[in-house]
Amino acid sequence: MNNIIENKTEVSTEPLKVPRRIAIFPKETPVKFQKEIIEEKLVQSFPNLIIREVICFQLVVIVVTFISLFVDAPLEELANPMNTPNPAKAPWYFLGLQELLHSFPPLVAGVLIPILVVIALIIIPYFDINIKRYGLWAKDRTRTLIYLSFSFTIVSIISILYKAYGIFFPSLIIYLMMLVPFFVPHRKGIIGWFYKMSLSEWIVGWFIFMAVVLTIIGTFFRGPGWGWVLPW
Amino acid sequence: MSKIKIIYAVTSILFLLLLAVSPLKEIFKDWRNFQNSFNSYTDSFPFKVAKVDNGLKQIWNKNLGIIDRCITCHVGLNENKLSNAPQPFTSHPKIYHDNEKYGCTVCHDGQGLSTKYEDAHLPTEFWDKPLLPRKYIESACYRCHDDLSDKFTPLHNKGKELIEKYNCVSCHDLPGIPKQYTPDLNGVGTKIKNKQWLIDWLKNPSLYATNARMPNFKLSETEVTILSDFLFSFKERRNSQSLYPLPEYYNTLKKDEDFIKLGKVSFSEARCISCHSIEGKGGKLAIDLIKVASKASEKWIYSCIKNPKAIMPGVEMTQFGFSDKEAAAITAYIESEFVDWNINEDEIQNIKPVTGYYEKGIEIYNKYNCGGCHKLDIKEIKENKGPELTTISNKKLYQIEWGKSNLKHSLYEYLENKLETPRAFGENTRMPEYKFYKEEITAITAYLLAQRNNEVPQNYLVRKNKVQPFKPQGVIGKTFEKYSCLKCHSVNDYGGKIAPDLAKVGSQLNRDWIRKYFNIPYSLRAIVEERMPKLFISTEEVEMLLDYFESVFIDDNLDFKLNLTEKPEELEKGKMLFKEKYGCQSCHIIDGSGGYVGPPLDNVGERLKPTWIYSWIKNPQKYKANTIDPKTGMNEEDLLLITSYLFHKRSW
Amino acid sequence: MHSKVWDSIFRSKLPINTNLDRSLVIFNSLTLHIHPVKVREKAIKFSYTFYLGMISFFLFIILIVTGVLLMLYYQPAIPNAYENMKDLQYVVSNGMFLRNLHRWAAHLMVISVFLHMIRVFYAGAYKPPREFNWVVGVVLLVLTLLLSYTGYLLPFDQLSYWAVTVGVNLIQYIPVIGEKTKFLFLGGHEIGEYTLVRFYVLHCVILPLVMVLLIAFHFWRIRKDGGLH
Repeated sequence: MNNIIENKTEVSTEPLKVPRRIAIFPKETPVKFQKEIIEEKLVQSFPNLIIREVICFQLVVIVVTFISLFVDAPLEELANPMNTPNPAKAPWYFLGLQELLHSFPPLVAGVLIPILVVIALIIIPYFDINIKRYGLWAKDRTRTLIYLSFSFTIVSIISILYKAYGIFFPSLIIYLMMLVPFFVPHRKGIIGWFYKMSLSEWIVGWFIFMAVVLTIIGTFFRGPGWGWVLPW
Repeated sequence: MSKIKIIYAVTSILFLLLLAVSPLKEIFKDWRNFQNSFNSYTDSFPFKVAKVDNGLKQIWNKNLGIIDRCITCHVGLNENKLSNAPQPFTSHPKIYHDNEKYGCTVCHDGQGLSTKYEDAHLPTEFWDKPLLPRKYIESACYRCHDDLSDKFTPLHNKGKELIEKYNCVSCHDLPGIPKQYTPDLNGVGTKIKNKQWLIDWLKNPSLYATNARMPNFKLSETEVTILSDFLFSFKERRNSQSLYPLPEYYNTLKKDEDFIKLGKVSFSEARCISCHSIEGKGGKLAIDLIKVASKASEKWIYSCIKNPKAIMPGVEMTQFGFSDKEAAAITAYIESEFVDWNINEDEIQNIKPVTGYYEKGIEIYNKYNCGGCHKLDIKEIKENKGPELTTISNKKLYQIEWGKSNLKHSLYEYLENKLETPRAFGENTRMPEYKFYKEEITAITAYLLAQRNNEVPQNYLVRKNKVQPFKPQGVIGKTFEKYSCLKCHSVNDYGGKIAPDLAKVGSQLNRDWIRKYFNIPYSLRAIVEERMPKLFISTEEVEMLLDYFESVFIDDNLDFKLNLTEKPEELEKGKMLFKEKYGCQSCHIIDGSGGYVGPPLDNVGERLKPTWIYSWIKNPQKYKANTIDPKTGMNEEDLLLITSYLFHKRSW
Repeated sequence: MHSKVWDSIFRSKLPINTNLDRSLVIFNSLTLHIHPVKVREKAIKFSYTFYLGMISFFLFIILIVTGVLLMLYYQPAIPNAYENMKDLQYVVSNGMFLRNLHRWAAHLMVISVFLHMIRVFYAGAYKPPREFNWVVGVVLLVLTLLLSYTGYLLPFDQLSYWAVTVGVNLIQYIPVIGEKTKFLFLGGHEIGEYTLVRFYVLHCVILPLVMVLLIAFHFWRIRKDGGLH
């Protein structure tokens, strides 16, 4: 979809023709003043955007219709309060939470963690630290390593103490990924990408990875008595 | 043309196509095919069958909470001409209920809401009540009815009998099923001669007697040893009478041929084989006697013959009025005849009891709920019943412990398998093995499937009047009890079904005849071997019973005057009517010739009272609902003449 | 093409040749005018946003349409609710298809909204001046989950009953107000007919209303915060 329907742009990209404001900023500046918005190529919404929207809509309908034609929505027997299935599972998007509930006390897993996650999500944009998005290892590498390892140790101890391996192993993987740029001086490809990732991006990445892993465990790998089973 | 436009074109076509095609799925539903093929199928018929208009059909019964869409495919249900058509077009066999009114699932189960074959009929994962197999359909009658005759629900009624016979109620609660007599085990150590017998019996009762009612508990060797030691230790007869001592002359006379012969005569005179069998021949009411002398002690056999109810409380065996000598002689006869010749007397040794057998014995006794059948008067015995079956048919599949079995999930499959191999569902099940025949399993399952809570509204229930129990008090009650009259006879349908109902016997039979019959019972019908055993009732007891019969077992409607004639020519006319007009002799023997279906009528005047003869001929079914004696509808004059003729058939 | 009827319905005149005409198409249309007349070429590339917001919105549209149709066949009562599902499956023309559409679209919407959030985060698109729109987005995510969750109970089969039970049991662990909140949600001490009615009203009226308003606000803020422009 890279093709843009040709139409006349009225904004010149020739730098000499259009006068520009020039300013000099000190090194440490909030990001909103860092870059001047570069004039970009603008196109007409109609039809360029609209046609994409229509295609998108059609594709969404096609996909959903196709699934619906071949996969029937589940329907079990009439609800019976006397018959508790083993295990009783929440809808799949809450199974990560239910998996946590298995390891931690309900107040922590069922109330504190979801509320903290929502609060964390809400305050992300107001949380000014590292807003310039320095890479994690850009400054004071040793101190970062100590803080990072300390945090990881705490998370590991808590998760192992509560036998929450669904937390421990994803955390370990993320921790090891974070460490890669510290030991490998390579700055290209994936490692370069890792090097550029800021702390907040790592944290959100950790959260997403954990949510996905826990949800998958809860959906496919948990059977009677919330014990481990194989999905096949 | 740019790439985006091509994409747009492709998605647009796909989009429109999919939206157009999706609803088509609806058109290819199975039920539409069935309706179409029904119409083309019936076109080929020589006669006219009403066409079905396309569309979904359902029966809705708001009271029963039923919405049944079965008739969407089963379109020929009420079309009599289609009785041989293939399913789903077959017409419904004639029944007493209008299916338009009652719906289908009320009897058949299955998922009435469904319009898909698999979902409607088969056991599916999320539907507890798949279609009831045809053989079990009669158990559905009991959702509204509570008592139906063998004509309607033969299998169910058979199952009920079996459940009664195998004494299922000793472990499972089931309403309306009486408990069978089972011997109590107080003093069993004085009854059983030989511990090895007990061991063999406990291992597998059916090896000793193929028709043994006690099931195989599949006890381990150690359990058997402990239990036999435990039981053998009960030499005292706590809380029940001790055995009668054998008369002193017994030991000297027991090998005497005349003495044994006296026993044999008494044995056959009392017709012990009415109830007992000997090597399978004879009655089925009591145990086979063939090896009894090798199992039970002499003293016990003697006591049993003398007064069974004293040493086996609750037993149905009647107490014969034998003298001590007769009883001793019968004992000697049994000792001489009914012996297991395979047992080598020398091998019978007293095996030493294992240590701690008493406590462990109680544990095993309680574990298998032996106390459910066999009373043992020690305080450690606890009731340890199996699950109650009162509402077994309401049981949801999730409530059933399936163990490791991989059955198709339905209740009837579970019941069948449970009855066949009771221990198949998990390690801790303790139900014993009965070795039922397939038909027995089917019958019991049919009965159990009828055991459920009422789910239908009150006004759908059909409840029969329950039979009133007959429980006379005082000395009559004790006499009835002593001779177990109600084991064979009934009073207003309460009691045994073997012999005639006694409720009107005072209006039916002559006192003198009954008195004689007590003394020498015989079979009224020449072709029927069964007859009442001779009970050796004392004269006083007989007279008391006769008084009671004539004052209580009376039908007041039979208390009227009959103008019977004594004139020979009119009696001759009655005879002609009997023999020629009504052809009674085709069934009844009189004057030495006639049929064998009904009882012989020579001397009938001695047996029956004239009002009874008169009323019976008038309407036999009024007095015995299932008799085949035809209601001839003869006129009053003929009736009186025949009654006079028959009444005249007497020696006095 | 220039019939009176066309002109009376559509304000745009055909053919559309000039950029002015193209602008007027957007400008004169009720449904389209939330778009800017011009957009950055880069911003409308698939690889830039993966159209995740758009996909979520279209799924929401599908959900509204199928949901309204499903409401025609639904009674929030026991056991009618369950029987209605059977009716949809066996009797209603295309009933099963309708229910499938609704259910799968709902699941897909949860996924697409979640992915949308991740995309926005890693693009840094939550940064000022868009910080409040991010907050609105988070609320929309929570609303999506709540909508899906309240809808989960409505078939009233074993699956829905126990899934909702597991969720509702969490509420009671909230200190102090836990029990009361649970009671408020269930309309009783356990899941019953009142729960069904409450979830039904939440699912069909309250939450969708809030959702529509917030989506409108979300879109408006996209433009005001600089969006595709």
